[in-house]
Amino acid sequence: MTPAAGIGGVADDTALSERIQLGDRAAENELVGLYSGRVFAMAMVRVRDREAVRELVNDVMMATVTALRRGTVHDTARLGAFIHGTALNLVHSHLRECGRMPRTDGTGEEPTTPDLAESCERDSDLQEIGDCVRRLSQQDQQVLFMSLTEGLKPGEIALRLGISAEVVRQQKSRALKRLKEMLNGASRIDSGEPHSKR
Amino acid sequence: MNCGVIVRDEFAERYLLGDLSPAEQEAYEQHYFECARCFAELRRLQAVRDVLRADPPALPAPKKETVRNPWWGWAAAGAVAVSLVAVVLLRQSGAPEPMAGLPRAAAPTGPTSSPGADPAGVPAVAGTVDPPLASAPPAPAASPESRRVEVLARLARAEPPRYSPSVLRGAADEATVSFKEGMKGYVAGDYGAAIPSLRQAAHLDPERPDIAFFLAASELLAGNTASAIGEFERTIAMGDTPFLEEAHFYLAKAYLAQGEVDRARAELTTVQSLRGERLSEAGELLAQLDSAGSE
Repeated sequence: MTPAAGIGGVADDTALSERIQLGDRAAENELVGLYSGRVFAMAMVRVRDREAVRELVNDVMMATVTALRRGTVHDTARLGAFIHGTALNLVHSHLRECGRMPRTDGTGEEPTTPDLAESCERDSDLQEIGDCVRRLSQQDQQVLFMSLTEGLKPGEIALRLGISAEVVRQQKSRALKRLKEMLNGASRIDSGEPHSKR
Repeated sequence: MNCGVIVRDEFAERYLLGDLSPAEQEAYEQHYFECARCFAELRRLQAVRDVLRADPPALPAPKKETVRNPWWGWAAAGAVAVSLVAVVLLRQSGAPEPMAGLPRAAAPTGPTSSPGADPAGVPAVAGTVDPPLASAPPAPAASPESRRVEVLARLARAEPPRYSPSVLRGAADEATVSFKEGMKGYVAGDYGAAIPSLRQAAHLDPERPDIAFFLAASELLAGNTASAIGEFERTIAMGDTPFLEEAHFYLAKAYLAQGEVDRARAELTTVQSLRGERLSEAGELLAQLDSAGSE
């Protein structure tokens, strides 16, 4: 975690919020870089439409920055919770109305958002993870595939592979651990840029 | 919720699979919005899944023991395999392509132009299929057509809808007696045995959505896909009943079993609009269909 991180791995965003309230545009970009990936992930789970989700991410970050500029966020130490709540509201509105949220930035200024396409789609990461996955044994790949993409339980995978469910559990756990070790220190996903908080 | 619970209970994996309850999902999201480490774990798992979807490993064919599992709707999967083999045969005989919902797979335009595997294991389909594949079971390093069959069979697979018998006081009417009789077979996983009594119940009381729905489910799980579709449509036509969302969801499964991807997609979209318990599952299925169709 980071110097600014709070108890239990929960980050304290007070300083970042204060900078945004003081008009620091770099802080706004930092905020967007920290949270847009999270908003993208939770919105994709619900909306499943990449284009609509990109717009929602923009709307959520816009609403957050606007609230911070105006000083209307009460608990600035827990910005993540505020952004999550904002995202849920906008996603639900989108699903209800099947339309975009109107942009209501009263200041007439829009925060400079980084290219969301770049920050949300991580081809280079996928390439790197792909290399690591291919270094796993065939059976490790099969176990992960059936578990992560088909949603099969260990017992079902065991039947397909002719091994015991316990072996499947161990194999899956070891494969994920091995992947983590291979990626450790090499991937941006692990090292905290651009999505991870500090 | 804390990091330890999230790891122990595999929240990230269940989140990606749409297996969390709405409350769990929201609590997990609230946590990862504030926890860099857990969000990194989620992203890593998501990326691994994406990579595996894009380049799936060769899988062994399902074993017979799996097919005999009484709890699962593998019968429906068998039905879809038969239907799709028929589709392959129809295509070879020049009949219209019924799987227009999978754009690249539905375009028999000669040799595959982009030979890479696709994210959901449904590569582009060449214009011809080797005859032996039409009758051969899926195998490791399978052909594009048989892999497509495998993907759709997987998506069409349905678990039996949950049934909670209600306890009514007083004498039951004839339809209820037949319904209860049929549901004994349903609960035991013997859907074929359940159907005659459920049909009798539906005949006696055609307005009861529970009877129509469980008859439809039994037909689907017994592999009678066409009958299932008719009954699910009848359930839906009854309007805003407790079975409306489930009927749309299982109707989508039935359409998938028939290879009618566009219709399945429409039903799943309806499920999403109803915002009920099947919301995330419908979204997941739609996403998988999108993956299969867009690559």
